[in-house]
Amino acid sequence: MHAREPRLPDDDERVPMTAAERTVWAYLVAVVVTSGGYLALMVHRVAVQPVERISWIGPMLWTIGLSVLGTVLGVVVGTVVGAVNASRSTAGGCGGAPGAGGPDGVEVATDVRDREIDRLGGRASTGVIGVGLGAVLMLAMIDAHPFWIGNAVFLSGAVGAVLETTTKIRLYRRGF
Amino acid sequence: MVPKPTRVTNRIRELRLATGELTQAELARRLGVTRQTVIAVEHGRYSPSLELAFQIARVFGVPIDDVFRYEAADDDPPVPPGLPAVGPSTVKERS
Repeated sequence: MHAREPRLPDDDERVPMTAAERTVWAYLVAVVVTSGGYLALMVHRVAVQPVERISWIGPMLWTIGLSVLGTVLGVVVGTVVGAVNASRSTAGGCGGAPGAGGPDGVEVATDVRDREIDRLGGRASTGVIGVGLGAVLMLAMIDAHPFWIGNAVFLSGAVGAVLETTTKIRLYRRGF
Repeated sequence: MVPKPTRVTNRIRELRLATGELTQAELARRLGVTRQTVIAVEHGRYSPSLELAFQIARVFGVPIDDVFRYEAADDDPPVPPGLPAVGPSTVKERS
């Protein structure tokens, strides 16, 4: 498309993700790892013992806590790695600032594109969470065991989070 | 092949070169957005909001349709007879 046009110093050089995209990636990895582990554990326990005897509240709380902690750690590590790479590329004379900044020179953390992606990603998960809540309602109506009710809520939240984050990443990478 | 996400094309790269070799980073700084957003707009992976489109045109000191063009699709409503499709050439003719 621009093959014959002259190039500017910073044209299309590899730039790090924005802070918002890093957060989405960290959240996706944390949710997949922690929720995947939890669900595998529950499937195993359901296969070997009756649900009335399954201990699930503690593991679920740990899973949620680790998911939040993993996201925070992922964002911190991503920010540090991004900053180190940015300082290296600047020191190497590869061109302009990696993340650019606002009119006052302060680096922009999120902008209008991030906000649009956030809104579209949130909309993508709404359907899944709605279906999950409908399932929970029906389970409560038929007096299902709290194990099923709690895990239906957890599952809809986890699937919704994966759908939301993958939608956002697709929008970041392929555009919209 | 992945379909192009937008039919809006632009001349940002061309204008950056014409405007004293304005870098993507500098354009992003002036607009108050991330450089990744400038790259996404420039490559047609993101149709900017109307406000951002006006801001981009303002940085280059040109009308908005000197920066952005819309490639009409087959299912787009037809242009009424006698009304020319507006583009950079028609803007220059009128002014």
